[in-house]
Amino acid sequence: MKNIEDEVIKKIKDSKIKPIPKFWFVIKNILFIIGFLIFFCIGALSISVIISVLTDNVEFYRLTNNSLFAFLNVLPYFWIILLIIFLVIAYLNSKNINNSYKYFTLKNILATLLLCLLCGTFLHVIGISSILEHEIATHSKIYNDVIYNRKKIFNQPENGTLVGKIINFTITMDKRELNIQDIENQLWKVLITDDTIFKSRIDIKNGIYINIFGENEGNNVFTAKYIKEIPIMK
Amino acid sequence: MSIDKTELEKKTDEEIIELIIHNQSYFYIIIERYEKKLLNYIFRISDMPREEAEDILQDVFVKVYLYINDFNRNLKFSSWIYRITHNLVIDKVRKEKFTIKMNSEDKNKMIEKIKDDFNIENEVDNDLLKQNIDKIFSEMDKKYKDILELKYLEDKDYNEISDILSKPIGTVGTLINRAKKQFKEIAKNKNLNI
Repeated sequence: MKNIEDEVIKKIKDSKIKPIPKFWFVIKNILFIIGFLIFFCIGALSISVIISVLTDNVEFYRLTNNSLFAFLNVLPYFWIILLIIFLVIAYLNSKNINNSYKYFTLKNILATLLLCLLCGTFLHVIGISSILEHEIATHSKIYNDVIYNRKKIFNQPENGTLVGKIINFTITMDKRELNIQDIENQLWKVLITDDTIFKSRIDIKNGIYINIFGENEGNNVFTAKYIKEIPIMK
Repeated sequence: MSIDKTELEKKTDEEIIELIIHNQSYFYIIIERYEKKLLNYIFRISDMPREEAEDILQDVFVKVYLYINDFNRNLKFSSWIYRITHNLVIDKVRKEKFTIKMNSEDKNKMIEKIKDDFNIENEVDNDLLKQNIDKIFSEMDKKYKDILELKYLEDKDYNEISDILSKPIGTVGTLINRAKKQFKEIAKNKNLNI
C-alpha cells in the first residue's frame, strides 16, 4: 500500500509543480464568455438573414401560387446550417464557463434561443440582414453564387416576378420607368406607378440587381407592385 | 507564521484552501482529510484494483494542487474534489471497463437507505436484496448507479451532487427519480417485489 501523502508531495516537489496562477483562469473564463457572446451574435445574425429570406419567399409563394417544392427549394439552407452550427458551438463553449452547468435548464436554454430569435428579428427589422448579405456577396464569389441561384428561381415573369439588372432608368415627374435585363437575358420595360412600393432603400443606378413583383403586361412590359434590391454582383 | 495542528484541524476545507494559496506546505492537510474518503469513493464507483485506485488518487491530489486557484469559493471544497475524482475515474473506467461491486458494509447501508427512501410498504427480504443488489446495479445505467451511490453511500445532498456531476439541480432530481424507477424495474424482473 502506497503512502499517498508522501508520494503526492514528492511528485509535486520533483516535478516542480506550481499552482496555475489565478489570472489565467480569470482570462480563460472571460474568453469563454466573449466566445459565447460572439457565437450568440452570429446566431442572431443568421436568424435575421433567415427571416429576411423567408419573408421574400413567403411573398413569392403567395404571389405566384408556386408549389411548396419551389418554396422549399429557395430556403436559406446556408444560414440555417450556420445557425445550427453556431448555436451548438455556443452551447458547448458555455459549458466551459464557471458554474454554467447550474443554468443549463430547459427553461434557460429555451429562453436563450428565444432571446436569439428576438435579436435576429430586431436586426432584420433595422435592415442589418440586407447589409450583411450585401457585404458577404461583395467579398465572396461563392456566396454571391448562392444568392444568384436562389434568386434565379424568382425570375418567373409569367407568375409576376422578375429578377434582373438595371441597364437604364428614367425618373422624372411625368415618367418613371426602368429598363432591365433579366437573368435569362430578356429585356424588360418596368413601369413604376404611385402604388409601387420600394421594399428596401434603393439607390437606383445602372448595374444593380433588383427583384420586382408585379404584373406582366405583355410585350416585355411589366408593372411593378414592389421592388427590392438584391445584393449580387454578376 | 505557522499555525499549530489543533488550530488547523478546526479550520474548514475552504479556510485551508486560503492558507494553501499563500503557503503551499499546508497541502498535506487536504490529503490527510480526503485520502480515505476518496479511495472508498473510487472503489465504490469503479471496483478497480487498489494500485490503480491509488494512482488515480495521486493524480486527483496533484490536479487539485495544480488547479487550486480555479476553485470556486461558492462551492463546497468537498464537491469540487469529488468532481475531480469522479471525472478522472470516469475517464479510466471508459478506457478499461471495470464492473462495480459493493462491499458488505456498503450493501447494508445502500439497502437501508433504499428501504427508507423508496417508500417500500411491503416487507422485503434483506438477504434476498443483498444477494441481488450487485446484479441490479450491474444492469443499471452508469449515470443512475453513480447518482444513487453519491446520494446513499456518500450521503451527498442535491446541491453537492449537482456540483460533483456538473448538472443543474433539477436534472439531479430527475436523474434520482429515474434511477429509483430503474432500480425498481430491474428488481421486479428479478422477482423482488419492491
